[in-house]
Amino acid sequence: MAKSIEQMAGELADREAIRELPLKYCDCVWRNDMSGIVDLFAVDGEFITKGQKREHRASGREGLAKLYGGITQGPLTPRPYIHNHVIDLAGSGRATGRCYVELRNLKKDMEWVGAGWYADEYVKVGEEWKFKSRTFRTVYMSVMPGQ
Amino acid sequence: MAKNIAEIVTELADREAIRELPQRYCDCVWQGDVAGLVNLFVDDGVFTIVGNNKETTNKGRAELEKTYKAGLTTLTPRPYIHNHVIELKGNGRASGRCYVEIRDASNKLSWLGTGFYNDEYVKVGDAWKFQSRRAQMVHMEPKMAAGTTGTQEK
Repeated sequence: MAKSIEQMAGELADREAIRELPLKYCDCVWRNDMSGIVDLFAVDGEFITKGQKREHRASGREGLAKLYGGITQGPLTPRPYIHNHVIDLAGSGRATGRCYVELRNLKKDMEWVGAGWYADEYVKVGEEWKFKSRTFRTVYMSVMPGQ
Repeated sequence: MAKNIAEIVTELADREAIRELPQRYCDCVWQGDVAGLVNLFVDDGVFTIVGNNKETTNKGRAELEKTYKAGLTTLTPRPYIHNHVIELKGNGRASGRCYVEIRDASNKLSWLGTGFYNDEYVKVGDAWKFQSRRAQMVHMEPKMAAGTTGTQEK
Protein backbone atom coordinates (compact mmCIF):
# COMPACT_ATOMS: atom_id res chain seq x y z
CA MET A 1 0.00 0.00 0.00
CA ALA A 2 1.33 3.41 -0.94
CA LYS A 3 2.46 5.60 1.91
CA SER A 4 0.49 8.74 2.73
CA ILE A 5 2.17 12.14 2.48
CA GLU A 6 2.17 12.30 6.29
CA GLN A 7 3.97 8.94 6.53
CA MET A 8 6.49 9.99 3.89
CA ALA A 9 7.16 13.30 5.67
CA GLY A 10 7.52 11.51 9.02
CA GLU A 11 10.03 9.06 7.57
CA LEU A 12 12.02 11.84 5.92
CA ALA A 13 12.22 13.71 9.21
CA ASP A 14 13.30 10.53 11.02
CA ARG A 15 15.98 9.79 8.44
CA GLU A 16 17.27 13.36 8.55
CA ALA A 17 17.51 13.29 12.35
CA ILE A 18 19.27 9.92 12.29
CA ARG A 19 21.63 11.06 9.55
CA GLU A 20 22.70 13.91 11.78
CA LEU A 21 23.63 11.71 14.75
CA PRO A 22 26.99 10.44 13.40
CA LEU A 23 27.71 13.93 12.06
CA LYS A 24 27.10 15.49 15.47
CA TYR A 25 29.20 12.74 17.01
CA CYS A 26 32.15 13.72 14.80
CA ASP A 27 31.51 17.41 15.45
CA CYS A 28 31.66 16.77 19.20
CA VAL A 29 34.91 14.82 18.87
CA TRP A 30 36.46 17.66 16.85
CA ARG A 31 35.40 20.21 19.50
CA ASN A 32 36.40 17.97 22.44
CA ASP A 33 32.78 18.19 23.63
CA MET A 34 32.66 14.91 25.51
CA SER A 35 29.41 15.66 27.39
CA GLY A 36 27.87 16.47 24.00
CA ILE A 37 28.85 12.99 22.76
CA VAL A 38 27.31 11.31 25.80
CA ASP A 39 24.07 13.27 25.25
CA LEU A 40 23.78 11.72 21.79
CA PHE A 41 23.21 8.34 23.46
CA ALA A 42 20.09 7.03 25.20
CA VAL A 43 20.40 6.86 28.97
CA ASP A 44 21.24 3.16 28.74
CA GLY A 45 23.27 3.63 25.55
CA GLU A 46 26.37 1.59 24.83
CA PHE A 47 29.59 1.98 22.90
CA ILE A 48 31.31 -1.25 21.95
CA THR A 49 34.74 -1.49 20.36
CA LYS A 50 35.51 -4.69 18.47
CA GLY A 51 39.09 -5.19 17.42
CA GLN A 52 40.68 -8.34 16.11
CA LYS A 53 41.88 -9.32 19.56
CA ARG A 54 39.65 -7.63 22.11
CA GLU A 55 36.22 -6.22 22.79
CA HIS A 56 35.51 -3.27 25.07
CA ARG A 57 32.06 -2.15 26.19
CA ALA A 58 31.09 1.16 27.85
CA SER A 59 27.51 1.36 29.08
CA GLY A 60 25.27 4.11 30.47
CA ARG A 61 26.13 7.74 31.00
CA GLU A 62 28.83 7.07 33.58
CA GLY A 63 30.56 4.44 31.49
CA LEU A 64 30.38 6.57 28.37
CA ALA A 65 31.63 9.69 30.16
CA LYS A 66 34.62 7.72 31.45
CA LEU A 67 35.35 6.31 27.99
CA TYR A 68 35.14 9.61 26.14
CA GLY A 69 36.94 11.48 28.92
CA GLY A 70 40.02 9.40 28.12
CA ILE A 71 39.78 9.61 24.36
CA THR A 72 42.55 12.20 23.93
CA GLN A 73 44.93 10.59 26.39
CA GLY A 74 47.81 8.83 24.74
CA PRO A 75 49.43 9.58 21.39
CA LEU A 76 46.20 10.07 19.42
CA THR A 77 43.83 13.03 19.42
CA PRO A 78 41.29 11.78 16.88
CA ARG A 79 39.77 13.96 14.20
CA PRO A 80 37.13 11.89 12.41
CA TYR A 81 35.41 12.12 9.04
CA ILE A 82 32.22 10.13 8.46
CA HIS A 83 31.18 8.53 5.18
CA ASN A 84 28.67 6.22 3.48
CA HIS A 85 25.89 6.34 6.08
CA VAL A 86 23.06 3.90 5.35
CA ILE A 87 19.89 3.79 7.45
CA ASP A 88 17.13 1.21 7.84
CA LEU A 89 14.00 2.37 9.64
CA ALA A 90 12.54 -0.49 11.65
CA GLY A 91 9.33 1.19 12.86
CA SER A 92 8.15 1.84 16.42
CA GLY A 93 10.93 4.37 17.01
CA ARG A 94 13.75 1.99 16.15
CA ALA A 95 16.30 2.01 13.36
CA THR A 96 19.70 0.60 12.46
CA GLY A 97 22.50 1.94 10.31
CA ARG A 98 26.09 1.64 9.32
CA CYS A 99 28.66 4.34 8.55
CA TYR A 100 32.35 4.49 7.87
CA VAL A 101 34.98 6.64 9.52
CA GLU A 102 38.47 7.84 8.73
CA LEU A 103 40.62 9.21 11.54
CA ARG A 104 43.38 11.77 11.48
CA ASN A 105 45.60 12.67 14.43
CA LEU A 106 45.71 16.27 15.65
CA LYS A 107 48.79 15.46 17.72
CA LYS A 108 50.74 14.48 14.58
CA ASP A 109 49.96 17.20 12.04
CA MET A 110 46.68 15.53 11.10
CA GLU A 111 48.44 12.38 9.95
CA TRP A 112 46.03 9.76 8.56
CA VAL A 113 45.67 7.08 11.26
CA GLY A 114 43.21 4.58 9.87
CA ALA A 115 39.59 3.66 9.30
CA GLY A 116 36.76 1.48 10.42
CA TRP A 117 32.99 1.38 10.58
CA TYR A 118 30.16 1.72 13.05
CA ALA A 119 27.17 -0.61 13.29
CA ASP A 120 24.57 1.60 14.96
CA GLU A 121 21.24 1.08 16.66
CA TYR A 122 19.04 4.15 16.99
CA VAL A 123 16.06 4.75 19.23
CA LYS A 124 13.54 7.59 19.32
CA VAL A 125 13.28 9.09 22.81
CA GLY A 126 10.38 11.54 22.86
CA GLU A 127 10.92 13.62 19.72
CA GLU A 128 14.66 12.95 19.53
CA TRP A 129 16.64 10.16 17.95
CA LYS A 130 19.55 8.82 20.02
CA PHE A 131 22.19 6.15 19.73
CA LYS A 132 21.00 3.00 21.45
CA SER A 133 24.35 1.46 20.72
CA ARG A 134 27.42 2.03 18.56
CA THR A 135 29.67 -0.89 17.75
CA PHE A 136 32.98 0.19 16.26
CA ARG A 137 34.91 -2.25 14.13
CA THR A 138 38.48 -1.41 13.31
CA VAL A 139 39.67 -2.17 9.79
CA TYR A 140 43.08 -0.61 10.14
CA MET A 141 44.47 1.71 12.81
CA SER A 142 48.10 2.57 13.34
CA VAL A 143 47.12 3.64 16.87
CA MET A 144 43.83 3.37 18.78
CA PRO A 145 42.11 6.25 20.64
CA GLY A 146 42.73 6.27 24.38
CA GLN A 147 45.79 4.01 24.18
CA MET B 1 3.44 27.13 -10.95
CA ALA B 2 4.33 26.49 -7.34
CA LYS B 3 4.52 22.86 -6.24
CA ASN B 4 1.96 21.60 -3.75
CA ILE B 5 2.96 19.94 -0.51
CA ALA B 6 2.44 16.42 -1.86
CA GLU B 7 4.74 17.11 -4.81
CA ILE B 8 7.40 18.62 -2.56
CA VAL B 9 7.35 15.69 -0.11
CA THR B 10 7.42 13.16 -2.95
CA GLU B 11 10.42 14.86 -4.54
CA LEU B 12 12.21 14.98 -1.18
CA ALA B 13 11.54 11.26 -0.68
CA ASP B 14 12.81 10.52 -4.20
CA ARG B 15 15.98 12.53 -3.60
CA GLU B 16 16.55 10.82 -0.25
CA ALA B 17 16.17 7.35 -1.78
CA ILE B 18 18.47 8.24 -4.67
CA ARG B 19 21.03 9.79 -2.33
CA GLU B 20 21.24 6.52 -0.46
CA LEU B 21 21.95 4.41 -3.55
CA PRO B 22 25.68 5.28 -3.86
CA GLN B 23 25.98 5.07 -0.06
CA ARG B 24 24.53 1.56 -0.08
CA TYR B 25 26.77 0.70 -3.03
CA CYS B 26 29.81 1.63 -0.92
CA ASP B 27 28.39 -0.18 2.11
CA CYS B 28 27.97 -3.37 0.04
CA VAL B 29 31.53 -3.10 -1.27
CA TRP B 30 32.90 -2.67 2.26
CA GLN B 31 30.86 -5.64 3.51
CA GLY B 32 31.67 -7.84 0.50
CA ASP B 33 27.94 -8.14 -0.28
CA VAL B 34 27.93 -8.91 -4.01
CA ALA B 35 24.23 -9.89 -4.08
CA GLY B 36 23.37 -6.62 -2.36
CA LEU B 37 25.41 -4.71 -4.93
CA VAL B 38 23.70 -6.35 -7.88
CA ASN B 39 20.28 -5.75 -6.31
CA LEU B 40 20.91 -2.02 -6.40
CA PHE B 41 20.67 -2.25 -10.22
CA VAL B 42 17.66 -2.94 -12.40
CA ASP B 43 17.66 -6.33 -14.13
CA ASP B 44 19.29 -4.91 -17.26
CA GLY B 45 21.50 -2.51 -15.30
CA VAL B 46 24.82 -1.43 -16.75
CA PHE B 47 28.18 -0.79 -15.12
CA THR B 48 30.92 0.79 -17.19
CA ILE B 49 34.43 1.55 -16.04
CA VAL B 50 36.59 3.99 -17.94
CA GLY B 51 40.28 4.35 -17.20
CA ASN B 52 43.72 3.08 -18.03
CA ASN B 53 43.01 3.90 -21.70
CA LYS B 54 40.13 1.46 -21.97
CA GLU B 55 36.40 1.27 -21.41
CA THR B 56 34.61 -1.89 -20.33
CA THR B 57 30.88 -2.43 -19.91
CA ASN B 58 29.00 -5.14 -18.04
CA LYS B 59 25.22 -5.49 -18.40
CA GLY B 60 22.63 -7.56 -16.55
CA ARG B 61 22.72 -9.48 -13.31
CA ALA B 62 24.99 -12.32 -14.38
CA GLU B 63 27.71 -10.06 -15.77
CA LEU B 64 27.49 -7.66 -12.86
CA GLU B 65 27.74 -10.47 -10.33
CA LYS B 66 30.77 -11.95 -12.06
CA THR B 67 32.53 -8.61 -12.34
CA TYR B 68 31.86 -7.49 -8.77
CA LYS B 69 32.83 -10.86 -7.33
CA ALA B 70 36.15 -10.76 -9.18
CA GLY B 71 36.74 -7.08 -8.42
CA LEU B 72 36.13 -7.37 -4.69
CA THR B 73 38.45 -10.36 -4.49
CA THR B 74 41.28 -8.91 -6.57
CA LEU B 75 41.32 -5.35 -5.30
CA THR B 76 39.68 -5.45 -1.82
CA PRO B 77 38.50 -1.87 -2.45
CA ARG B 78 37.14 0.26 0.38
CA PRO B 79 35.34 3.28 -1.14
CA TYR B 80 34.14 6.58 0.27
CA ILE B 81 31.56 8.58 -1.66
CA HIS B 82 31.47 12.37 -1.86
CA ASN B 83 29.72 15.31 -3.54
CA HIS B 84 26.59 13.59 -4.79
CA VAL B 85 24.42 15.80 -7.01
CA ILE B 86 21.01 14.67 -8.27
CA GLU B 87 18.75 15.86 -11.06
CA LEU B 88 15.14 14.62 -11.03
CA LYS B 89 13.77 14.29 -14.55
CA GLY B 90 10.20 13.19 -13.84
CA ASN B 91 8.42 9.96 -14.79
CA GLY B 92 10.58 7.91 -12.43
CA ARG B 93 13.87 8.93 -14.01
CA ALA B 94 16.84 10.82 -12.58
CA SER B 95 20.52 11.29 -13.14
CA GLY B 96 23.39 12.17 -10.85
CA ARG B 97 27.09 12.37 -10.35
CA CYS B 98 29.20 11.51 -7.31
CA TYR B 99 32.88 11.26 -6.52
CA VAL B 100 34.76 8.37 -4.98
CA GLU B 101 38.01 7.75 -3.14
CA ILE B 102 39.10 4.14 -2.88
CA ARG B 103 41.42 2.53 -0.35
CA ASP B 104 42.89 -0.96 -0.20
CA ALA B 105 41.85 -3.26 2.66
CA SER B 106 44.68 -5.67 1.94
CA ASN B 107 47.39 -3.03 2.34
CA LYS B 108 46.71 -0.99 5.49
CA LEU B 109 43.99 0.91 3.66
CA SER B 110 46.49 2.58 1.38
CA TRP B 111 45.03 4.86 -1.30
CA LEU B 112 44.07 3.08 -4.55
CA GLY B 113 42.66 5.93 -6.56
CA THR B 114 39.83 8.33 -7.23
CA GLY B 115 37.26 9.19 -9.85
CA PHE B 116 33.58 9.86 -10.34
CA TYR B 117 30.38 8.09 -11.34
CA ASN B 118 27.87 9.34 -13.88
CA ASP B 119 24.67 7.63 -12.80
CA GLU B 120 21.24 7.07 -14.31
CA TYR B 121 18.49 6.14 -11.83
CA VAL B 122 15.07 4.64 -12.41
CA LYS B 123 12.13 4.07 -10.08
CA VAL B 124 10.92 0.47 -10.06
CA GLY B 125 7.73 0.22 -8.02
CA ASP B 126 8.54 2.16 -4.84
CA ALA B 127 12.31 1.63 -5.04
CA TRP B 128 14.95 3.61 -6.89
CA LYS B 129 17.65 1.59 -8.69
CA PHE B 130 20.70 2.20 -10.79
CA GLN B 131 19.88 1.99 -14.48
CA SER B 132 23.54 2.56 -15.19
CA ARG B 133 26.79 3.59 -13.50
CA ARG B 134 29.68 4.90 -15.54
CA ALA B 135 32.84 5.05 -13.44
CA GLN B 136 35.38 7.48 -14.84
CA MET B 137 38.65 6.94 -13.04
CA VAL B 138 40.77 10.06 -12.68
CA HIS B 139 43.73 8.45 -10.96
CA MET B 140 44.58 4.81 -10.29
CA GLU B 141 47.54 3.51 -8.36
CA PRO B 142 49.31 0.67 -10.23
CA LYS B 143 47.52 -2.10 -8.30
CA MET B 144 44.12 -0.69 -9.19
CA ALA B 145 45.03 -0.08 -12.81
CA ALA B 146 46.12 -3.70 -13.11
CA GLY B 147 43.12 -4.95 -11.14
CA THR B 148 40.51 -3.15 -13.20
CA THR B 149 42.02 -4.47 -16.38
CA GLY B 150 41.95 -8.03 -15.14
CA THR B 151 38.54 -8.06 -13.50
CA GLN B 152 36.63 -6.50 -16.38
CA GLU B 153 37.62 -9.04 -18.99
CA LYS B 154 34.77 -11.44 -19.72
